[in-house]
Amino acid sequence: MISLEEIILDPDFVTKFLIIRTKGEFVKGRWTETEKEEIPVYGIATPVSSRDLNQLPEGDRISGLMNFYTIKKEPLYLTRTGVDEGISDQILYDNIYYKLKSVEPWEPFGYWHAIGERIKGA
Amino acid sequence: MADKFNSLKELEELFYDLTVSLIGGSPEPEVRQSWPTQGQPGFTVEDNVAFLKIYDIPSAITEQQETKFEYMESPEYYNEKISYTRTLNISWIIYGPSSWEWATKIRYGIYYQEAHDLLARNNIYIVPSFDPPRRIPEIWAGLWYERCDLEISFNELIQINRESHYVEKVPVVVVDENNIRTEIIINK
Repeated sequence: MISLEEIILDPDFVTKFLIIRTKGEFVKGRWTETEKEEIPVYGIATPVSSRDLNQLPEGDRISGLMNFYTIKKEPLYLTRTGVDEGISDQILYDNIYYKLKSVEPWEPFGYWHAIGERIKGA
Repeated sequence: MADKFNSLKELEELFYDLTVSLIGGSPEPEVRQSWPTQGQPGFTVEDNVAFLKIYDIPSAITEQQETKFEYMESPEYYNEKISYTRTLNISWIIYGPSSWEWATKIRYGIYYQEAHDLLARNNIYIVPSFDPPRRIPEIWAGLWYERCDLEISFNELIQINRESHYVEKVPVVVVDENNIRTEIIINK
């Protein structure tokens, strides 16, 4: 099977971002973060959509989506149950946090693709 | 004087403890709070999980408010006590193969003396009129998830205190037709 890892790390495309991965447990029914891992990775970041302004009665909000590509050994996680319970990864890119909403497991082709949603709100 | 007022977090923990004790069993049943800010891990079709939702609703006794002025052994201050009742709606949304059984356990267990006493210690009392558990399985990714909902209302006594000043003096100004002003101070 062809591996596209080389393209993900191509100096013409590659950039650096931070994966923020948390683990936790339920305390009195409330999800409580117990462990936070910050993983610097190299990959590709491209826009999915424009940064949109939502003018709401309560104030202005900004929404936006970004694509993130990482190589096979740097998987991207959505929410997960079981022994390694945790919520979806966040990615810090260009000083903005994105919460992963969708992950495409292109692992056999040497990469991961995820779509993150800007969560700062304002 | 201490206020009687449960914060949202206190209510969440109180109804968490109550739900765990009513469902019982070992290991402890999975009871979770709804609306977590960052999200929380989900569950599978085989897992039994109860979710709690807490919010105020209007009822026949939520509008009346009583204000009482109480002596505080101070020449300057008195206590103003505001009392009213708020009605809480507690919604149990239960998923899993045992969801109906869990809802049934809460439905009859809520009348146990221990449940009454636990709630009464927090100034909360059941409104003994509610619908039976409602079984509403829902489909997710090609599988039907068993789901059963139960809603019960509770009245909570709220008492808020604040220190208020007595009226110590009242300044009165009398102005006659020649514009001559006389000031009178009426002391307590």
